[in-house]
Amino acid sequence: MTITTPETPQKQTRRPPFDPELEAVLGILGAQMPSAITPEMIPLMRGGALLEASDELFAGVTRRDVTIPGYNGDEIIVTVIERDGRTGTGPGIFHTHGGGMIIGDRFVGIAAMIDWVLRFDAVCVTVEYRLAPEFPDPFPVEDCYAGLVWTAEHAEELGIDPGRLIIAGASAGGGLAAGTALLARDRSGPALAGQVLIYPMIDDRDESVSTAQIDGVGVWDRTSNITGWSALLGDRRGTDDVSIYAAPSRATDLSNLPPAFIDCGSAEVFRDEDVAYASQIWADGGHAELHVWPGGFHGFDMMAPHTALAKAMVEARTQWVARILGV
Amino acid sequence: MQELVGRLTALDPEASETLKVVSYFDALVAGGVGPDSLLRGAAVLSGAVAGYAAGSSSRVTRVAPDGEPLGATDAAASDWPSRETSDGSLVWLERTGQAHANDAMVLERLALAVAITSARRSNTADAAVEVVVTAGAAASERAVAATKLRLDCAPDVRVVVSLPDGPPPVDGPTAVVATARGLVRVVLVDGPVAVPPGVRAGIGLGGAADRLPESFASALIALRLGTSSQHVVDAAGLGALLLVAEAADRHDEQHPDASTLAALDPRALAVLDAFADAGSVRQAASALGMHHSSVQARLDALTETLGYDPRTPTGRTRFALARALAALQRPGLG
Repeated sequence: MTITTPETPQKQTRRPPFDPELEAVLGILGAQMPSAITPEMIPLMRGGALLEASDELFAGVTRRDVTIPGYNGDEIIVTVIERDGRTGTGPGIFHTHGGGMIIGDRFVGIAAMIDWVLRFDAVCVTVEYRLAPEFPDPFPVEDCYAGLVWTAEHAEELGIDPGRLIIAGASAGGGLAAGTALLARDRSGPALAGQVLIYPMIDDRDESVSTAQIDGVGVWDRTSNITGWSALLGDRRGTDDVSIYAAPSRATDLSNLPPAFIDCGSAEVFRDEDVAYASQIWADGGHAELHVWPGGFHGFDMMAPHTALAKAMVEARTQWVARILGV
Repeated sequence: MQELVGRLTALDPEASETLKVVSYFDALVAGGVGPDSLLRGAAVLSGAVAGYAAGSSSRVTRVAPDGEPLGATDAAASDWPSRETSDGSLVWLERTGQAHANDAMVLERLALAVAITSARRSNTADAAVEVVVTAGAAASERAVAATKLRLDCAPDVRVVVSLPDGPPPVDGPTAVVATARGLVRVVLVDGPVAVPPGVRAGIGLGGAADRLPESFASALIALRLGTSSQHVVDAAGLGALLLVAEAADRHDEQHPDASTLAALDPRALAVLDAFADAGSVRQAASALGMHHSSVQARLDALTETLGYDPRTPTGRTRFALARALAALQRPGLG
C-alpha cells in the first residue's frame, strides 16, 4: 500500500543525507549564515565577525608578523606561530587559509594548525595572500608560493627542518595549497614533505554531480562556489584559459608531487573534484590518502567540532600528519 | 569560523532560544541518533557538561561542551539542574552558579529525546506505536506491531496527535514520534474520541489498523489546522478540505490568499472569523460586541485588502480555504 505521511520529503534533489548530528547543527547555522553567497554579499561576509579568531585560540603559542615580498615583490604579511619558549629545529607547516578566495584572513582555520604546532612542536607560517576579486588570479596562488619560498629560505632561522616542511589549507586554502605544490614542483622548489588538502576547492568548471546536488542547501553551495571562482577568474571561469595552479583539477599530470592527504564530506560541493584529484594522483603513481566522511557538509569539522564525525575527521588528518612528519 | 562554533557552543544566555533548542533535538531524534549524540547536543547548546544515568543500568555518561566524553560522577549527590525521564533515567547539566535561560529547555528536550530513543531501542509498546503509524515501515512489520498492540482486528482505530510536552490527552497506546515538522505525541484510540478541553489535538481518520499511517497523516494536518479558538480538529469533520490541505502541503510556494491573511492584524482577522462563523454581519457584530455598521465598514475595507468579498458565497469559500492554508503555513506544528 502506498501512503505518504508528512515525514516523506515532498520535493528534494537527490543527494546524500546529512549526518543526523550535523543536520541538527545545520538547523542552527542556517539562521546565522546563508547557504548561497552571491557577489553582493562579499563585503558583508568580510565584515562579519564569523571569521574572526579570538585570542583564546593562541593560548600557549607566540605569534609574530613578518612583512615579506609577495607576488611581483609587493609586500604581504605572514604570521609565524610556535610554542611559547620553543627552541631548536622541528617540522614546519605552511598554511594557506580558506574563505572561497574572497573572504577570511590568515587566521581562518588556524585552530587546527595550532593543535599541530603544540602536538608536533612545529612552526606554522600562515600567509595573508591577497583576495579576489580585487586581486584576481594569479595573485592569491602566487602570494602563497612567495610565502612558501620565503619560509623555505628562512627555514634555519625559523627553526624548521627543511626536510619536514608540509603545506596545509582548507577549502580555498586547500586549492591554494594544491596549486602552490604544483608551482613548487614545476619551478623545482621549495621541496615539500606533504600536502594536506582539507576539502579543497580545486575545480572552477561547475560540472560535477556534487555541485548540482548541493544547491541552496548546506554550507558553501553551488552559488557560493560560482561566486568564489568568478571573483578569482572573472570571464575566464570555465574556459580553456585557466591554469592548473588556479584550478588544480585541470592538471592532467599529478606525478612527482609530495604525498597528499585529501578529505571532504559526502554532502558537499567539493566531493567529486576532491575524489577525482586523489584518483588522478594514484593514476600518476603518486601517494594519496583520501577520506570521504558520510553525511558531512563543507567545513563541518570547524563548525560542528563536538560531533562524532568531526572528531573522527580531525583525528584521521592529525594521524596522517604525524606519520608524514615522522613524530 | 571559530566564532561560529562559539555561538553554537553557548546559545545567548540572556535570550531564550527555544526554537533552536527544539529544532536541534528534533533533528537528532528524527535522525535516530543514540544517547551520546543527544548528550553532545545538550552540552554544546548549554555550554555545560551534560550527563545521563540510564534507569535500566548503572551506565553513566558525561560529555563536555567540546564533545569529549568524561568519566562517571555521582549526579544524585549534586545540586545540578536535572530531570528525570519517563523511562526512569536521569539527565543533568553540570551548571555551577546561575542557570542560563536555556538550561531548563535544553534539559526538557534532552529528557524527551532520551526517552524516545530508549523506547525505540527497547522494543516496547512505544516502539510498536511508532512502527504502526509510520508509512515507511514494511507492511509486515506494521502488522506484527498492530498485533502486539492488540489492534489487528480493530475496525475503527485512529491516531490522535498532540504536542509532545504534555501528557497523553486520551487513553491508549502512546509514543512521541518525530515528524518532519517536529515531535508529536501519538495516541492510538479504538472508537470515538473525546479530548479534554484546553488541549490542542488533531484527530485522524478512523479505519482498520493497516490504515493508521493515513490516519496519522490526517491527524497531523488536523493538529496544524487548529487555532487558539479551535483547539481540537477532527479530520473526519474536514471533508474535502482535508484533501485540499494535503495537496497544498506538498507545495512549497505559499498561496497569495494565505499570505494576505497571515499579514493581517489580529483584529481584522477576528472580524473575518466572526463573519465566517456567524454567516451574517449582524450576528458577527453581536459576537464581536461591535456595531453592525462598523463591521460592515471593516468588511468593506477588508474586501479591498483581500481582493475578494468574503460576504459573497464564492468569497466565503475562498476565505475558508485561505484560512486553512494560512494555518498550514505556520512553522513547525503551528
